[in-house]
Amino acid sequence: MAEKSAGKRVLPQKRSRAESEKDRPPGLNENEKSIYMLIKSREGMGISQPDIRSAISLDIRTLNKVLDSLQTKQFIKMVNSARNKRAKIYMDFHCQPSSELSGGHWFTDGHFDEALVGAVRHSCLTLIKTLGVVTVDDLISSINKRNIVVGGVTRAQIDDILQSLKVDGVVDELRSSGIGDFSRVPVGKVCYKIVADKKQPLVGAMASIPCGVCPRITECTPDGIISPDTCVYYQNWLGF
Amino acid sequence: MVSQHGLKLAARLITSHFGDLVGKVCECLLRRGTLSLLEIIRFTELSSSQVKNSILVLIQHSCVQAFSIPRPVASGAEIRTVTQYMALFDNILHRLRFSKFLSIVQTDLGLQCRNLLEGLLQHGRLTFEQLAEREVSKKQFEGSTSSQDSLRVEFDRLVHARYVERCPKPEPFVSPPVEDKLTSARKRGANLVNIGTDEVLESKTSDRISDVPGGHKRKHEALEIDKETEAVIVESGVLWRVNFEKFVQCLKKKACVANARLRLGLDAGIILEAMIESNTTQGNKNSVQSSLENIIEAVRGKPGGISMTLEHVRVILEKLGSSLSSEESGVLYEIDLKAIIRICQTDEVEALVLKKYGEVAYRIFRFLAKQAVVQETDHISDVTLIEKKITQGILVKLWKDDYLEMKKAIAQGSGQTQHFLWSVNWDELWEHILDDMYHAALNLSQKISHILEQEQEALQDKAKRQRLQKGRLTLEFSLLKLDDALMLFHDF
Ligand code: SF4
Repeated sequence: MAEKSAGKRVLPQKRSRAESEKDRPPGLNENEKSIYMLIKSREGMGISQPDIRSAISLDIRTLNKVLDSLQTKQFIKMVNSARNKRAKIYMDFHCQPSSELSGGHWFTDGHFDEALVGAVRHSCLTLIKTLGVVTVDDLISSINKRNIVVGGVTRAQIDDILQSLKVDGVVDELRSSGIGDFSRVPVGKVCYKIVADKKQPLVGAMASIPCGVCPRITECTPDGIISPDTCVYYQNWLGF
Repeated sequence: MVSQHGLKLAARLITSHFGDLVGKVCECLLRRGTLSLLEIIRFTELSSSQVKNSILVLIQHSCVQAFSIPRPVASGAEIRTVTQYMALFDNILHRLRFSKFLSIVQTDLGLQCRNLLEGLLQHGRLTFEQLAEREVSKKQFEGSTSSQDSLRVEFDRLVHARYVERCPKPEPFVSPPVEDKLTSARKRGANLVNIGTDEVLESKTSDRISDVPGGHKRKHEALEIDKETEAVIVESGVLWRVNFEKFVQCLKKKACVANARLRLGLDAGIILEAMIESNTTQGNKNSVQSSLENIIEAVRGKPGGISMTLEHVRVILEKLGSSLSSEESGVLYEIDLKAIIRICQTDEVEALVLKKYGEVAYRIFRFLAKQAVVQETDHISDVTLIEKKITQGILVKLWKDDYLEMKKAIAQGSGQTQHFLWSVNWDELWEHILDDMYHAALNLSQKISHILEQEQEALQDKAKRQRLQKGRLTLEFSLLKLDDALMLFHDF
């Protein structure tokens, strides 16, 4: 249906009379019907209360009453948005929250799954280091073949990980030239490689002395209570 | 403007090298800006002779510059020439790096030149006679000999390589327009210090200062060791001093080469060094330019350079971020040294963020450091794949500690939503990091003095003394390293 692909729209789509009649659920008054139809049209994306109000002008008390009644009658349900914990989203009772609403493919039970991100990131890095040059397909098949992630990884997950590795300056995105390191990847295909000059983080001058990372530096003065002469961080550092 | 901890560090260096009185006078000048003798006496509450002697010591060691300016006396009608004194912050801080200067000269020109330079570093301005006398008596004491002639040859080399330069006139005269600038600078605030070295003073006023015997100082390229120069060297009464600017250039070059080596490998270090040595640009100290032929020639003269192919050199020049320009003399490669210094600075800050705030903060900071425009919290969380709450917490922490800048934006939609936008404000961050570095250097040098005192007290306890000595060496090494980082942010 056309409406399904336009799930993000706030306003309901015009429907033909026959279709509208057919979809109209029994046992609902006019307000309940129009609000239910609006919520239903948003499918897995759902809609927030302020958005309903801007689409259908109703005073807040009536609106809340209608929403409560629809929930009681199990026409709609309220879900939380992973992005905005305070926002209450209403959705058709039988719909599943979209991945955008549930937080995406890194959310498990509404929580960001750090361990999952860490495991996939680590696997990708190890594979890129081992294979030299890899494509997204290589990564998906290798990770899934090894059963590293329960239920397997998706392309979207691998894309996310590669994006974060690029942002961190750890991997480069290149197009295969088909020769040398790239010989196993078809010419022109996008592939990934560890950044050539990726160095270990430098041991900075400030980072290697106690004062550089000292939480008390602003209170430390030559003759103060906290001073280099009495500093415990230095005592420990120098092993005195 | 120099930060508070920078001033404290400079004052501390002078106190520990020349004692409390000289330290007090220097601190007064550092904090209050340019002053006359009477003003120094009034502010420090020291006797006239104490102040005079302190000033002489400071001038002798190029830590203070004297100059004359015409100033109206009380009634405003009569104009008199008054001598003013100005602390040279940069020169004072160079006292931290004397051991580096000595090692540069020893590597470049050998031990004898190093010893001559040591004389100048220890005693400040000297005539060649004084320097030679000192060297001869030192040699006699050590049981060896050294002739005036051989010393002069070594001294020639120091002058020729610009490690040593002739002192300018001790008290240049600055005509009224400059006086206006100076007095208005003083009015702007007591803490405002003229941090420029005397080179700044000289260059700003080069056409106003009359009769400066050391006026050829800025024309080093024209300096040729001919008979005339030799005659000047031995001429009695001509004072010589260490050319700090040259050493700063050498250290800058070293820092860039070390960074290239670390980032792109040994060959990159060799090629950059060769390029700097064959540099043909004179004016711009922030970039080097040379033809491929000259670079290759210089590369071949270096250990490990003989086997490098033309193509290899070309590829590395590209990796070093060089640009090509077409000049009358042919195609030239140009490398922006400032850009390499910028990488060094960023590395230093990133290392600090990693150590102080951990791996996740390091990733977020690195991401923001690369962005040209502000970034929204959700977006940062999405692209780094770091949970939103954690991202938010880290961003706020870095913002509170002045590593990041934050802006709020309100989006008007069905309701109002507030967005937080983050970025790195490099200028402010540099200032803040530099002040922390001065503070850390101040603490390190105080700790070193403290341990030295403890060593004196532990003369009888050999084990304790050795432990203290070991600790002191660690601190001294850390201070030298920290000073390298300080130069990245202040001198290069
Ligand atoms: S001396 Fe000690 S207390 Fe003071 S800033 Fe350094 S580490 Fe912190």
